[in-house]
Amino acid sequence: MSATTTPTLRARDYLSDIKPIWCPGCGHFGVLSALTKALAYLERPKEDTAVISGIGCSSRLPAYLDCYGFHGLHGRALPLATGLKVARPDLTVIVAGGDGDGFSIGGNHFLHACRRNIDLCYIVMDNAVYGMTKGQASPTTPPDWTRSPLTPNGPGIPVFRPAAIALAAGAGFIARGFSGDPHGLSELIARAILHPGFAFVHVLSPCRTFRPDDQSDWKQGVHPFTDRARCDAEAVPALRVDDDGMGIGVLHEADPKAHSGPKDTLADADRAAAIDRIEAELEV
Amino acid sequence: MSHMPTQPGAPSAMTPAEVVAQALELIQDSVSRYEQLQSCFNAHNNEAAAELFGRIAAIGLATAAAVARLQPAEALPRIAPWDFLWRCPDVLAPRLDQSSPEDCHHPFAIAELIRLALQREHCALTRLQDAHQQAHIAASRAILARIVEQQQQQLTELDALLAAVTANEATPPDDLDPPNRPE
Repeated sequence: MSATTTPTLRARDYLSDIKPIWCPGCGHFGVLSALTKALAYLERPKEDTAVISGIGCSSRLPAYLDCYGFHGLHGRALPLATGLKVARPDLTVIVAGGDGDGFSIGGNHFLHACRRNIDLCYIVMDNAVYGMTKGQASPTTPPDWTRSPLTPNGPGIPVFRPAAIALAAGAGFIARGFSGDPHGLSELIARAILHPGFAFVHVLSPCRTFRPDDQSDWKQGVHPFTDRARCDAEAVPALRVDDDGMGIGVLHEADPKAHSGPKDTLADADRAAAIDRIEAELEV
Repeated sequence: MSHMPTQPGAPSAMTPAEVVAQALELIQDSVSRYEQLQSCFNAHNNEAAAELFGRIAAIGLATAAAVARLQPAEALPRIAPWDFLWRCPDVLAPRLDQSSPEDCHHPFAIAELIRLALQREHCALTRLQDAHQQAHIAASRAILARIVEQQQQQLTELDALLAAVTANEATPPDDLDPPNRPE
């Protein structure tokens, strides 16, 4: 990647030379397309953009983008991104992952990222299955899904409700998109990137390989989200009860002026001294 | 939110530059998807399908180049991705009335893939023809007529591809990279 300032870029200019190995028909292609469209529209310089991920099919996303990236540990994308954003608040930091990585293995980090309200854009590609490990039930898998031999009678437990939980935990921006509509999704991602604070974009992204039986109808099932949640945690019960999980659009957006996340208060000299101190400690 | 777009005008009142910008986005988006499919079929060992998508993408690129040459003197407008009128449907998405798991799978037969591509490209043609009929501005209407011609040319080439393979096609190839469902 060039270190010089990039000129106006097209969406495809944000793609790296590495070709995706996702399955044919995978919803994640639409997310990749939407993200590059959003970055191009916002004219984000590649050298000022970093995409951080954990583990899973969706977490391969940083490799397919021609900007800075880090493919971290399973479920730990948010702590990595938080560290990066605190150290380099000038960067646009985007976090990408899946439902298992974000809501199960990294579930605790999800709650606290919402609460801390660091200026991150967190895109979760939810296909309601662990695809990389060949199709086990994830936190968002319906209780009656019986296709995995590990849960032959279905998981039998209620699904994780990412939007309601994000709202309860204090996320300032919550949106849901559909990978089959990359143009519409690009708007949600652009707005999430612009939101000053933690912005969560929940993407319905079908897995054609391990959930073909009940995700083929997502294309017809999604609909505009019309019941905009209020800007406080008291709206959570309503979001939990009234939201069928298929409404797409901005579900909640707090007043951007209310952002109280960490500010870049360190002077350059202080930052350099802090980095020196950390490096010295690591050597010990 | 200074980056947020303004809503474009009515489709029937598009200027020639807007028409070209909209058409280019539609064609280039479909080319991107064909290229994505080319790479993922490559990754999943269906080389024939990958080669086919490469050829279809090349046909699309030629169409895009021809449309780009229709660009009027004025610069193309900057349109937000979400404000484009003619969105490219997922080439492998199930049809609305016939969704089933079999609509998408690894060992696609070549003829089956070309038929899917043809279906989507016919959809694009219909949209372009509708836009042509509704265009109020004469210059825009003329450009749309040329774009419709280009799209028809693309369909002719896809038809020729289909005719070439159906003569040789017997059964779909074995799945060389099946999903390992049992744990």
